[in-house]
Amino acid sequence: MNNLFFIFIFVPILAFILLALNVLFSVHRPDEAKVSAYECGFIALPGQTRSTFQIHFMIVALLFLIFDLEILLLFPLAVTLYQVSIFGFTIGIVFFIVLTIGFVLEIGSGAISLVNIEQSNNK
Amino acid sequence: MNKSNLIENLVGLIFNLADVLSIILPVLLSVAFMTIIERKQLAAHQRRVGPNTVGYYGILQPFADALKLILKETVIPSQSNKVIFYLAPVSTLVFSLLGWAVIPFGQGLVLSDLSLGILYTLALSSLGVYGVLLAGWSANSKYAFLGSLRSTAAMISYELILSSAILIIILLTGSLNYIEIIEIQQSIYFIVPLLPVFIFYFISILAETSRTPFDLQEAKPDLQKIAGFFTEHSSVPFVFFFLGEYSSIVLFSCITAIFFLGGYNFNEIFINESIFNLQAIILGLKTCIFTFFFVWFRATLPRLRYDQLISLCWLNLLPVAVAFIILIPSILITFDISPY
Amino acid sequence: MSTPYRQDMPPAGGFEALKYKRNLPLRGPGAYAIPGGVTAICAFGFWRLGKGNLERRELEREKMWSRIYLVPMLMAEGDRDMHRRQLSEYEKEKEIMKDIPGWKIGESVYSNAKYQTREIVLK
Repeated sequence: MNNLFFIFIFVPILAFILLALNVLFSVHRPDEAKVSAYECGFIALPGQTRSTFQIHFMIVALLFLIFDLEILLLFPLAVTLYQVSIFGFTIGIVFFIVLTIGFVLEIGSGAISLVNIEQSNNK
Repeated sequence: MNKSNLIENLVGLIFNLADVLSIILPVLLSVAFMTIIERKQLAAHQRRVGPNTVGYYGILQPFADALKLILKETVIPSQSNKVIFYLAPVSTLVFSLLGWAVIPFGQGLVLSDLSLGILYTLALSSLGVYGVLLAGWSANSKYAFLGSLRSTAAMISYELILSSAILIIILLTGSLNYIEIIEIQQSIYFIVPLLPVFIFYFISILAETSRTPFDLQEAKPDLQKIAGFFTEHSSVPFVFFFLGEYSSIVLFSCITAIFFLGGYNFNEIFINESIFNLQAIILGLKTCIFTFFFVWFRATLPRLRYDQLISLCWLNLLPVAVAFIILIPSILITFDISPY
Repeated sequence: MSTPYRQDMPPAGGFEALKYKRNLPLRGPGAYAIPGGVTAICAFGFWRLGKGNLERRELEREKMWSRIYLVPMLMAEGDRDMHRRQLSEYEKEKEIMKDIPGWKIGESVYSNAKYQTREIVLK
């Protein structure tokens, strides 16, 4: 039984002990006003909570995926730079430059903005 | 033979428990004292006294806070998903505390000396984003959900910069092992050749832990009476978010001290030959420098609006990170100083 | 109205002119000093790091050569141990097969007379 394995078991147990302490020691008096959703006085309609959200968040997540994978794929080059020396470094740079061209396209097209740049350009 | 095997396993288990407790208990204490340190230091920046009633100079304040929050009622909103509602703050705290398993406190004094320690840390910081996302999603109210989406987008954007800075550090050492990184810094602390990298690394750490100047989600109570993604969480779930945030502050300060200031080594002053672990004190002092910076930034800087935050990351910091990712290995290969 | 009085008059020569224009003096190190300073610090850092990495390469080389030089001694030690075990196995085999005519103890399965290090340990 490894130390790492043990801490993976121990820390969730600690968290659940704290939750159990709360369930034991605190009162539990649910009131109708207390358990309703908090919306500054408005009544929350159950159909409107999972509404659509802006496409900007999806685009940020997608771009994060691409660039995070790019950086992760450069980790092996970073670890073995002495062994692969100039040749491996050149290959890594070619890969990186191809993705940087995409990055330039992304910045220039205004993909990262809450207010769409193309809309404001057309107006 | 079976019985001696069982006793052997049991003794091993007791040693495992002792190892884990000797790391987790001081970490929890340090997280608790971090809250009071922050309040006292913020007060000092603002020329007032912080909490000073509870113990001597307010030292017992975090324990009073924890006891109060345990005794309060947990209000579960009627329309939330109850399982995720409880699991999200638990996962935030768990992933913050699990990051301490690879931090070395001395030569080889680490809970588990993974050869891929840095990958473990990066994985945990990526998983910590799930806690934020699920918390806002489970509370099933429009404002909590929007707050959590914004926090998540900010955290994942700055995680790119963090990965870039860590990639540059790994370029200077030859391996992903924490102890290897500390050993290589015996020649020069990495903050000296990598000063610009340290700057954008520290910015990304401030954003990862949602601290000022990037904490619009938590500062919304001042502005709008809604607390962002943990609006609906009360008492112990809130304690978990709170503890998770401060634990990641202390964890990231420690990791910064390891990456840039040379960890537990301070070879100009002394080399420890005795069995007492005096190097951990040095690591602690270096961590304190960075936690001081965290609170200092909070006291001094104004906040960024959400779209300023995103455009700062993608339009300003990420090109700088890309530039340094191309520059640093070029330097290493040109002068043939790449690590073995 | 002949009591002496004192009026609040402007000082002799009038007031000075009010400074209303912006006054943001350029202070601190200039535009060449800051990047130049950071480059100097980084260059010094990389020079120290480079010396350290070259030293680590030499240390690694020394470690590898010491391991290479140790290989014959370790092989000899292993060979002595295996030879001792082989002799004790021959004794056991002599004991077990003493009644069978025409059994050569320790007969090799190969027709070549070359010495081969044993790699299998029998209990």
